[in-house]
Amino acid sequence: MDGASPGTSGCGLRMKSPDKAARNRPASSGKRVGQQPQFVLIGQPNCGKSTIFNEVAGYRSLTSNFPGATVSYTESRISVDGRPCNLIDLPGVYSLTSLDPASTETQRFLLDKPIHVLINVIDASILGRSLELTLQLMDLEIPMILCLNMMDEAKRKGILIDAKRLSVLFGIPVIPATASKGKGVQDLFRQALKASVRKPKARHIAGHRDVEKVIERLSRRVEKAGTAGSRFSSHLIATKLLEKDPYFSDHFLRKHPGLAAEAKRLGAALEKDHGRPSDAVINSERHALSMSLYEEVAQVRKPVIHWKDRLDNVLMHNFWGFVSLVLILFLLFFTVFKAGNWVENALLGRLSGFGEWLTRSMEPRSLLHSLVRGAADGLAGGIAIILPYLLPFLLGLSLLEDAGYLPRAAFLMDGLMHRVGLHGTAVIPVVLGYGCSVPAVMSTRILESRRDRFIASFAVTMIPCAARMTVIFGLIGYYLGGPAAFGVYMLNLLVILLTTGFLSRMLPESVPGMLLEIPVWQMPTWKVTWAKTWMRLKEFIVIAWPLLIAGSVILTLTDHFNWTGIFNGLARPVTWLLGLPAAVGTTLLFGVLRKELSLLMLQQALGSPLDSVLSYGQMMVFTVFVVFYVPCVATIGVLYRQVGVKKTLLIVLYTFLIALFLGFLVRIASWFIA
Amino acid sequence: MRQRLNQLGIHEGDVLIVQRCCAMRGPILVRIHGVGVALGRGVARHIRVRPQDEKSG
Repeated sequence: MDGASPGTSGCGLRMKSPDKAARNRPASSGKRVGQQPQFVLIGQPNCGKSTIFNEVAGYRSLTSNFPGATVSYTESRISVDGRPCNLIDLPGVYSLTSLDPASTETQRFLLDKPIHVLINVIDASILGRSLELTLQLMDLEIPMILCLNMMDEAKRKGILIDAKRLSVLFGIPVIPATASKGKGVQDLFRQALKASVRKPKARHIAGHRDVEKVIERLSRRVEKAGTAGSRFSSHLIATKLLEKDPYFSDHFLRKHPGLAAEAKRLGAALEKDHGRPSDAVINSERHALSMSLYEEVAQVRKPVIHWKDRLDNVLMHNFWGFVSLVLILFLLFFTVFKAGNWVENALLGRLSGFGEWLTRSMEPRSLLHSLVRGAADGLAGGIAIILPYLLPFLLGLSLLEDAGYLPRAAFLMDGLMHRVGLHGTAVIPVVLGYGCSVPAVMSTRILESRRDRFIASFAVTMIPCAARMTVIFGLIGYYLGGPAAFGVYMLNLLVILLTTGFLSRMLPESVPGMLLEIPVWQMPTWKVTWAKTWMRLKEFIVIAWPLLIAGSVILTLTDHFNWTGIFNGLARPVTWLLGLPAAVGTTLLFGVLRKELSLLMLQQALGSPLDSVLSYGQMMVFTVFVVFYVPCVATIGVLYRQVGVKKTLLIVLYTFLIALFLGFLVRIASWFIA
Repeated sequence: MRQRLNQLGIHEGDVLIVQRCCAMRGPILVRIHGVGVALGRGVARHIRVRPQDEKSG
C-alpha cells in the first residue's frame, strides 16, 4: 500500500510516528542524537526492512510487499539491551540513483539527517542484485552493518552464503537473519549498538582500473570545488555525477559550473572508450562487481521446489489467474458484507437501547437532550456501522498486501487497465479505493508520471469507499437486495471506465509501461498485518469518528434550532431535480464531511424505517448520487496535495455534475420500472 | 529506462527467462537472477534478446 502510509505528500519527508512520545519530539535535534544512537534501516524494496522494524518497534510501522509503497519513513524509539535507541525505517530503494520520489527522499535523508549506524538490509535470496545498493551505501562512509535477511528463503533457493567471508571482504559486521520468524533480529541490534561505538567503516572495493581512474579524477575535482557541509564522500559524488543522477547534478553542478564542465568532459571520455553512455558504464561496473562478490561468498545448489513456486502457476495463469483474481476480490467483499452485517445487527439493537436509556432521564426537546442524542448516535454509528465493515476489510487487504498479491494483481490487470488508460500498477490504488479514498489517493504515488497519477486519483475518488459502501449495503442491499447493490457497483465501474478512458484520450502521453518486481510469496505475519490494519483503522477512529460525532451533534442541533430549513433550502435545487424529499438536502450537504454520515443522517432526517418514507426508486437515486458526488473533505485534502488546486476543483466539479446527471437518469428510469 | 532496468537487475548480456505472457496484451513476466520482474509491452519492446542459451538486453 502504500503509498498507503498516511501523512506524506509527494515530496519532502514528514515524520510519521504513531506513538505520542515520538511525535512530541523534534524530528532531529543534535542534542538528542548526541545521547541516543540513531539507527537507520535501508534496503531494496521487499527486503523485509519493515518486518525487522515491526519486530522491535511493535505496532509502529506500515510494511508492504509492494515495491515503493512506503514513501514516507517511519520512526520509533526502541530499546536494545536496556539502552534507548532511535530507529528509522526508510523507504525501499533499488539504488541511490534518484529516479523516483522514494529514492529522492532517501537521498535527501542521507544527506542531511544525523545517522549513527546504517543498517543495510539485504534479501539474501537475491544477494547479487542487492549488493549493488550496498556498494553505493559503502561510499557514504557512514558506519554500517549488513543484515542478510530472509536466510530461509535463500536456503530454499539453494543459495548458501558465507556471511563471515562477506564480512571480511567488506570490513563490516554481517548478521544473518530471518526476520519473519524473529531470528537474528536481537543480534542485529546488539551489533548495531556495538557499531555505534566502534564505527566500522566499510572497505572501499574498487572496480576496473580505467573506470576507477576517471572517478578518482572527478572526485579530486569535486574536493577542490568543495563539498563542505555535505555528508557524501567525493568519491560518491563523482560517481553519481558520471551517472547523471538528477538529484546530485542539481545539487552540486548548479553551484559549480567548472565542475559541471569537467564532469561532462570525463563522462564523454568514458562514453567514447566504452561505446556506451557513462551511466551504463558505471552501472554495469557496479553490477559486475556485485556479481563477482556474490560468486565469492555464495554457493548455489539445487533449489527446493516449494508451494510458493507452484502457486504462481495458478494465480498468474492466463486464465486461472483472472478467475482467482475475481474470486479473491469476491471473497473479500463477501466476507466483509457477511461479517459486517452479522456484527452490525448484533450491535445495533443494544446500542439504540443504550441511547434511549441515556436520554430517558433528560427533558425531551432540551438542548442537552439534543446534544447527548447526537453524540450517542455518532458514537453508535461509529461502532456499529464503520468498525464491523472496516475491520475485516482492512485486515483482508493487509493480508493480500503482505502476502504479495497486489503486484500480481497489477501484472494480471495491466493489459486490461491499459485499455482504459491506466497502468496495471494502478490496480493497487483502485483496490485500496474500495477501502478508503484517502490512502488510495496517497498510493497513486507509486505511479511514475504525473498524468497517470492524476487519472488514477480521479478514478479512485469515484470508487465507492467503505463509507459509501455502507450506504450501498445499508440502503440498497438492505431494502432492495443484493443484486441491486451489485448493480450500483457495476454502474459505478462503468462510469469510472468511461471517465478514465476519456481522460487518457484527452491527455495523450507516451506510455513507458510497467516495470515491476514480483516478489516471492510470503506468509503474512500477524505482527505486521495487524500493525498495518491497526494503523489504518486508527486513522478512521482518530479522524473519522470525532467528525462523525461532531457531524451528528451538528445535525441534531440543526434540528433543535430549526436550521434544517435553511440547509434544505440551499440544497433544494438538487433535491428537486432528483425528486428527493426536501429533508434529504441537509444530509447531502453534511455528507461531504464524511460520507458514512449519509445513511445515519438520512435516518435522522426522515426517521426510520426508511422504506416508509422513501420509495425504492428514491433510495436508488439517493444512493447513486451519494456514491458519485463530491469526495469527502479528507479526500479533497489529500487530492489537493497530490494533484494541486485546479485539478482538485476539476475533480470536485466533475463528480458533482456526473452524480447529478446519473441521479436524474436513475430517477427517470425508476418511473419506467414503477 | 535503462537505469530502471539496471536497478531491477536487468543488464546487457544477462540471461533472462521469459516465464509468462499475460493475456490481453498484458505484461511479460521474466525471471532474472532468480527475481521475477513484470515488464510492460512498451518496456519489453526495447529489450533485444537473442534466443538459444544466451540472451542479451
